[in-house]
Amino acid sequence: MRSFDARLDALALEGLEIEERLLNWQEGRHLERLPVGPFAQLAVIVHNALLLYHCRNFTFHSCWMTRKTPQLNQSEVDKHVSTILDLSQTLLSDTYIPAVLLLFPLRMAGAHVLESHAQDKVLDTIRKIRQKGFIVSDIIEVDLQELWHYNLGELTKANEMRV
Amino acid sequence: MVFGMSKMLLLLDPTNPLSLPTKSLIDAFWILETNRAILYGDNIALDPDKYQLSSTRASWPDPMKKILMLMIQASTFAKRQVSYTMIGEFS
Repeated sequence: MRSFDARLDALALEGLEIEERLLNWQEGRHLERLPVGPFAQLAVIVHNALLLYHCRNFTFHSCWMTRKTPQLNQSEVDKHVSTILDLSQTLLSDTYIPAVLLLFPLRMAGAHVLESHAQDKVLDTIRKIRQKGFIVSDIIEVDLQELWHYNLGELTKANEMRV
Repeated sequence: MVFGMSKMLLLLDPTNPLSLPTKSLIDAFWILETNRAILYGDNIALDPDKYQLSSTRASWPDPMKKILMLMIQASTFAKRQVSYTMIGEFS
């Protein structure tokens, strides 16, 4: 229905430009092999979350399927999720960076995990943030539980239709 | 908190130099506000080009400077993207 919408074309193009800016940040980081210091590690975590966030925003509506938009394959998604979880654990245990700044990255990681052991790891990390006094993390936990419940329902429906 | 802080920022005179505590307060505001907006899919409370962001950015921890600007760009874009897509889906 919206195959010829110039505004959508422009948004897709702008989305690609933002993706390029995100990827350029990553290229600059290759100069430094490992993030040094807590703020550098936080920036790497947020960067991985931003790529998940930005690409995911092009998966919710069919109008993007016919256009070239920012995309990640499953292997890239898994890598970003793994980096977020591993570095977040390190930051929470070894530094005094305000843990609340990890909620956005963990929400993004949580939105991309399907298996229960990965979901448990996300929840475990979010609960560590709560233990540090940021009770707002309860909202993110409930939000993720609802998302996972919804996704499971959708998966069950899809499987039933296949049978 | 965001509303109160936004009001304080609006009252600042952009021609006067900022004290160190004021700069620290503004830094904290922008870091928290950027995270709040992207997490809840909300608008950024103030225009970063107009309200003191540029005058304090130099004091941010270096790795955070660019990534926070990218967060603002990505969340602002997503807000426009969702608004326009929703209009199309339901019109």
